[in-house]
Amino acid sequence: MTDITRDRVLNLIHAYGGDPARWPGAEREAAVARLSGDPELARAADEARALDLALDALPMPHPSPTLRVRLKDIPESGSGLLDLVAGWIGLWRPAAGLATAAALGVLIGIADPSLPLPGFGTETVSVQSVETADTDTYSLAAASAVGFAPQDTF
Amino acid sequence: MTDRSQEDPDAALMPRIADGDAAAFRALVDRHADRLLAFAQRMLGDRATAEDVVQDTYLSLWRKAGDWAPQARVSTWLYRVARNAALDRLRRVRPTVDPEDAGLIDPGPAPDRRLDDAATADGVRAALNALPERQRAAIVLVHYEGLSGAEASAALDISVEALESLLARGRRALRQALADRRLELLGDSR
Repeated sequence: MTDITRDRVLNLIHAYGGDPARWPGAEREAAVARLSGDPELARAADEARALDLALDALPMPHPSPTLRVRLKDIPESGSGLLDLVAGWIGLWRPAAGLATAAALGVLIGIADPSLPLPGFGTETVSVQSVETADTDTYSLAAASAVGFAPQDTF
Repeated sequence: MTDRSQEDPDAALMPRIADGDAAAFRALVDRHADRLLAFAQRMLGDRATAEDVVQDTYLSLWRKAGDWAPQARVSTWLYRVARNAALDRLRRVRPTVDPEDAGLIDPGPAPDRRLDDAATADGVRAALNALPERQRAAIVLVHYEGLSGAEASAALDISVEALESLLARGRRALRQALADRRLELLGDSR
């Protein structure tokens, strides 16, 4: 049995009430022993028991069978729709981001057609062809690679 | 805190719930729903809102069972979730006390005794509702739900010393409120 101070027993009574069964198990035996030889502590415990009895006058709330049924439905219905929505948002989040960015791009383009396309500057670059022996072959291959037809002229 | 998974009968159910096992989930409904409802109703003083709180608590359990750590008992974790849900609602609107609450059990004693008990119950209900939320939660968990100091402090996420301070202050305020009410009743009967 551990030793316990009188103040600690008083604290237990004030916090947990007059019923030693509610006191912390590790201190209970020592506290009860201390209590039995101290009329002032015993009086404090009696007063606390009076409050315990008053608190017990508050009836126990009824269980709710209908609530219990609703709770047991949660795995099937309660969170199913929410999980589905959450999963859908998770799955489509990247696509939604791309779609939003594309829509913003279109809107900005419509609002201000003078804005340059990504990767293109606003300055006009003039290209002059230089006639060399292999220019035609090189130019046609390069033009074809970027989508120009052979008849297009530079 | 120590690992309580070995001594907590609910602990084995949590990984199963995290894996989507509905039977394990329903076992925890059977074990704890009534006590959580009683706790929420005493915290809020309102039956319908208390049922919403319990519903929210079990939705959290179904979705977040994987977050549970075995350092706390499952029941303690559920009380903590329920308390936070109740706190959210208390912050939104302060519920009124309904003495005619149909959700309360009538123990059915003799008529005179029933009147005395009803008056005392009304006084206790009003005094509890007048307490600061933390003191009320501490009293409800320890006195009504029968949690130990260690369990209640874990549910409230505070130290045992802080819990005992809340309990002592709460009980002092209740004793004073009930004494004032008794004087009122005596005054009315003169």
